[in-house]
Amino acid sequence: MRNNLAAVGIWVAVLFLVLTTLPLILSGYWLKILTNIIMFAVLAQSCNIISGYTGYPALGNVVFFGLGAYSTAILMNRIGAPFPLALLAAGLISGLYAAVLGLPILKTKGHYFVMATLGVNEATRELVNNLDFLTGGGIGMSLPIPDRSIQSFYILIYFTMLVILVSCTLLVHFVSRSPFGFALRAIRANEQAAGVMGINTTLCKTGAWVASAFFTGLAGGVYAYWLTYIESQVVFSIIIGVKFFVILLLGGAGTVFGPLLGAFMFQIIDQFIWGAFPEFHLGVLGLLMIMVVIFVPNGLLRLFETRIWFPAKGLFQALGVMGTRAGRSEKG
Amino acid sequence: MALLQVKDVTVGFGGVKALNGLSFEVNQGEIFGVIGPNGAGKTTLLNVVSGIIRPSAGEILYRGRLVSGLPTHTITRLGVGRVFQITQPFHGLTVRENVLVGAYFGTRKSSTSTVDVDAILELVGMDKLASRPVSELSVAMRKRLEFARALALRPDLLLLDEVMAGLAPTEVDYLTGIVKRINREGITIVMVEHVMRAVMATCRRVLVMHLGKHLAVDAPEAVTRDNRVIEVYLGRRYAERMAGTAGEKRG
Amino acid sequence: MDFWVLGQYAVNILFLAGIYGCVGLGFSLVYGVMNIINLAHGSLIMMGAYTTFWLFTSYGIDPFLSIPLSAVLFFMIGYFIQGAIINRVMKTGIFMIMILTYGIEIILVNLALYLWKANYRSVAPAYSGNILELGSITIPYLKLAILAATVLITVCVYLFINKTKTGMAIQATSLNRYSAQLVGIDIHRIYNITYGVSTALAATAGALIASVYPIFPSMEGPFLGKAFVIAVLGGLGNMAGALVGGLGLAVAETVGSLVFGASYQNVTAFAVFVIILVLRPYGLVGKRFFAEISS
Ligand SMILES: Nc1ncnc2c1ncn2[C@@H]1O[C@H](COP(=O)(O)OP(=O)(O)OP(=O)(O)O)[C@@H](O)[C@H]1O
Ligand SMILES: [Mg+2]
Repeated sequence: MRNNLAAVGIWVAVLFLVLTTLPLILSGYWLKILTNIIMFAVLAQSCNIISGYTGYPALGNVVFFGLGAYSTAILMNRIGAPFPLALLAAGLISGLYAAVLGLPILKTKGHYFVMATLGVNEATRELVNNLDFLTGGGIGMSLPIPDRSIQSFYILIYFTMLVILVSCTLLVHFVSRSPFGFALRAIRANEQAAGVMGINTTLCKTGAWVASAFFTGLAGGVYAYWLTYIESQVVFSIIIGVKFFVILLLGGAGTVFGPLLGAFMFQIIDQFIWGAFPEFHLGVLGLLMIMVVIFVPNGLLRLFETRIWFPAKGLFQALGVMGTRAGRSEKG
Repeated sequence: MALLQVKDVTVGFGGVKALNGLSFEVNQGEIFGVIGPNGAGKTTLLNVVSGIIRPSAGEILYRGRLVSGLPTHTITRLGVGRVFQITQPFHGLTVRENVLVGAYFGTRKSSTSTVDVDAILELVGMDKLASRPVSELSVAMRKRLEFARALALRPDLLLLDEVMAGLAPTEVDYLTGIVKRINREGITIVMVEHVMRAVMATCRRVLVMHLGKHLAVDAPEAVTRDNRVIEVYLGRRYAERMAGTAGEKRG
Repeated sequence: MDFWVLGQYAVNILFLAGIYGCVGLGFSLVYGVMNIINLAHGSLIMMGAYTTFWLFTSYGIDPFLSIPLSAVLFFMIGYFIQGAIINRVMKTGIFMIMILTYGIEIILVNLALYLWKANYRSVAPAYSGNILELGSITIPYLKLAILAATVLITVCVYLFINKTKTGMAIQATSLNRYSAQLVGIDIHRIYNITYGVSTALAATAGALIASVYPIFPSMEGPFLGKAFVIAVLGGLGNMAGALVGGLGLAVAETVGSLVFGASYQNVTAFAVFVIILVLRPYGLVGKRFFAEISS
């Protein structure tokens, strides 16, 4: 156990070093890919809180991404708010939206919950399309162009995204070993019994969803600023929603580092597919999803941990320890 | 004052009235039995008391305080523990963790003493299984786990839903022993049960339910001789024949 | 509002309800029998529409006559998809199956984009301009034919489910898959057939849609969304309910666009959808299901 923790410490330090120095030497193209990876890691990690730990399959979580993107765009464009402020507000608005929606929607379960979240996403998207005076409607919306060099702007975006990822992952790490995380796992296992065991299930679920929405909204805000132009068809697209879900499954739902690993693997493969089959990109992506479901249903992290010999097996084992068994060392 | 008062409680599911104006009281310190044929509404009754279902009419008082309408976890923290008829373990957690959940969240803020999870596991004879995942447990062990989990809540009132059903006689006697023991330690118990062997051995008073209604409250021996009860369980013809033979013998 | 205007609305609603019923029928069938939210349903409808388009433009086959052809073809495709892919993961959780069906969805979208490009296409049979006039109500014959077709399809499905041995087996499986196995039903075969029938129904809906609306690859999204709303309004998994749901959606959209303006019809539909999900998850007409606590 102590050994593993030390290993995790070292690996995390190395990872951090790599992630902070890489952007300074990478070309624009690769920086974009790396930023994308980090963004999807944030999305998958946020989704992990409500889906991985709490067991609520929030397929429509992309609604907070869109909401975050539009909030940032509106605040910067219509009010002239500075980016950091607009971004923070976007996160808070997304969280608030989750809190308000959560009370009724988190009463539904399983398939009903999935459909409700997808329905909320569609309804919100339609609403955004209709509020032309605010959102530009179907035409989309542009954000103020930053007045700094392109390279330094992209590096700024990258680091903002990275800070969000680190905070989100730290949150998941600490939650997973806190009583709150314990309550979430109990809810995932059996909600009714959790209630009878004295857990305030409504509060816990809503809290988890708000946190999830907050970080998803932040990612959406950074994305909007990054691209300087957003469209409702893109930022509310189910494809993004499903993609971060697949990433979560690929990496390992309910583990601390699964989403990071998943995002890395998935985006690299995705990039390769784009290059190799530009015309069949979607189709190959679909195929990939099917293969993930059939061959790695429990996620890579657990797969490496249990079955496959891998040069970095120690790493995965160590990460696995933090992920799957985090919270098991609770003291009574 | 009675610990638990159920007053004119009605619960409807669509057209069916699972509880129909049911009233009774449970006193501090007793073991109170609830029996009735399948579908009588016993599980529904426990669901209403523990806050899983809201009654459509009537009220429930616990220690004189109105609890119907409160959320489940609040009722739990007031000291009402619950054991499910169909065991509902937390899959993916170990036996010990299952019990820990109750100790963490279920105990009242006011109670200062910490819950000794290991002592509880030992009480139900599961100390050796503490680190096993629940998926490996047998039915009997799952029932005991349910029990242990409820005890970790340090309840004052424990609602048991057919904990003995489907168990071997030795297992029934074992659990009966535990029920009696925790009752001696001060926990009031409401016990829904089909296994008359257990009811006879533990309960002083028994409520008989039928179609969501109160049929009789009496000592278990008296209840088993009550014609209305026999009728409900075995049908009118049988009851009449029994009454007839009893009459012949007397005559 | 005068009588004729109301009449015109009623006719339009009825026609929409017919198409929507058809859209929801297959979706609900799969949910009812297998407990799967089939995210590929929208793209199956879209592919059905393109098949009709293809048969019409290449071989001059009338859209209504193409229905039996494409239904048979799509039945086989659906049977294959279920047998070769979905059955492998039936025992995993809902996350997995949903991702899987979404994978199928985007593969089909990609295929359509490749074969037909992203352009709008339409099928215009020679008689599509003909109109029946009743007072001041105008009804294109095409819409009448669609209404007739949906009635016919509903009757066929009803007879299939209630009067054939296979239909009974499907019902038995939907009630309880384990008991169904105990009485000798090969549930995997039933799953294949169910998915096949659902796919054939999607193709039929696609054909009807293609005969009146322009079609394009990304129409799958909106129609998948509509299938959701229809199924939930009628009670998930309830086939008769799907028809009610179709009517419900048609009414909600029409009323929504009357009250809030045409662009708000989808907002209204989805708002109703979410409200129903939360307040009456068993649907508008359905009975409350048996929510027995189980582990
Ligand atoms: N969620 C529900 N929806 C609809 N009807 C229900 C529901 N739960 C229970 N019922 C009905 O309410 C009645 C009482 O059920 P309940 O489970 O309380 O009976 P019970 O006395 O516990 O029976 P058993 O001895 O079989 O456990 C039954 O007729 C049952 O069909
Ligand atoms: Mg019962």
